[in-house]
Amino acid sequence: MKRIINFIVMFIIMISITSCNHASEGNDIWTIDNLPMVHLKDSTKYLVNPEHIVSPEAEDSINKYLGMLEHRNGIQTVMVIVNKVDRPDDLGTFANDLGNKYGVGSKTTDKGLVVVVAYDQHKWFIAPGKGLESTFPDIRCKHLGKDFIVKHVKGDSPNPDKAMLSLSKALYFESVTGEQYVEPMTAEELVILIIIGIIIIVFIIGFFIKNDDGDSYSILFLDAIINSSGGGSGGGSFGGGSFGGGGAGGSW
Amino acid sequence: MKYLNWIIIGIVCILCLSTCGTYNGMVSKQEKATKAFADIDAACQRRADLLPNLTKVVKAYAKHEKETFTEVAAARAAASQIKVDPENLTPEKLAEFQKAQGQLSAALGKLMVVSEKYPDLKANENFRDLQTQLEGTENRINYARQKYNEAVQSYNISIRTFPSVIFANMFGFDKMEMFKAQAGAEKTPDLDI
Repeated sequence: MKRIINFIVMFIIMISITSCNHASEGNDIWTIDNLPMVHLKDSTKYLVNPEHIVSPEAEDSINKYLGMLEHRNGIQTVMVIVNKVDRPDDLGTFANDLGNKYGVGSKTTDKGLVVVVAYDQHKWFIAPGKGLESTFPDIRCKHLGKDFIVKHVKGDSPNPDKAMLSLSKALYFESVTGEQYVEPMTAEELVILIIIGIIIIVFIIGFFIKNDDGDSYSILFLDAIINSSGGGSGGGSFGGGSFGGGGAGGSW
Repeated sequence: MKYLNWIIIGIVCILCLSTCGTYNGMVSKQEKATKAFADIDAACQRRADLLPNLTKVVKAYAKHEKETFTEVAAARAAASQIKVDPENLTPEKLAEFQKAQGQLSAALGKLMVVSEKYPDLKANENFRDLQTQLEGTENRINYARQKYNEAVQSYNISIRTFPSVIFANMFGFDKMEMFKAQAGAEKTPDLDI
């Protein structure tokens, strides 16, 4: 009898170890079946961030905004950020399947929203529930993704915290006001803008102040630049290439 | 003898309940498949509704591509003419529907290829928005087709397995047709947005 009990205990331990190994292996590539739906365990959580790509501080803020989105507007959101998913080339189906599998959003209103970001695979998708298609039509989802996700994760210094947080703010703001959300300027952007403003003001003032020959200082300044550069055309526009641009539907 | 009567009544009750359960299950699965087809139809209609605007915008930049515009208009008209009743979906009707929608997809593909030749058109904000809507609509059609096939598969399995097969034959539940991948369908149209 004792032998049988020992065998059963050993068998259970072996099974547990094997399943644990499978779970940790499975975490490399996420499917809709192995994603931990944190909202089911804690109703105040909406961000699925099993690999801690987003910092705990940003995660708290995101959960707060998404909580307000649900309580004030009845929009239930699941926001997922992981490194790799099993269907990166079909992230739309992944997001919709996730929403359908868990029934994200109320059954009567269908106001569910699923956001999936496959960080290492450089893909994103925003899937609104059927009841949200007029609030967040495809074009708006595209712009939201480009303006808030892609903007912050593309380039040399990607910032997933900012990407997910600004998207959460935008979703909340737009659903409350019905207007498009514009991100407030960062201190760096503000400084650049002030410098440009000063240069323009100085240039305008210089245009009215003339030397003894009657030439304005601004014109003389422009002449000097053109002559020193051998008559080439002026510089490019400000940072056009840094925003949006490129990347077909949902990748960066 | 008294017990035997009760046993017979019990068996009859169980059989009745089981029949009701099986019948309701089959009806529910058939309804699910029918609704899934209605979703495909709605998504296809949405695509057809987008076409006039899209053609108008492309025409403004590519006036000489008359052949493509004619083809798109003809494909749209052909697709609109086919009315399918999901309740009475025959294999022939489904094939006809699929063929018409396939021709519309092909015509749309040509329209998109045309747009590639006109950089001004590609840069047009209105055109880009329409492309995004079209891409979303194509995704919806594909998703709805996938869900329809899953629903039909589940229904077909239920009417072909024992003991449901007995009731399916008794109550006239016929096998439903699934969408088949068309030649070239494995290649996702590349909408360079």
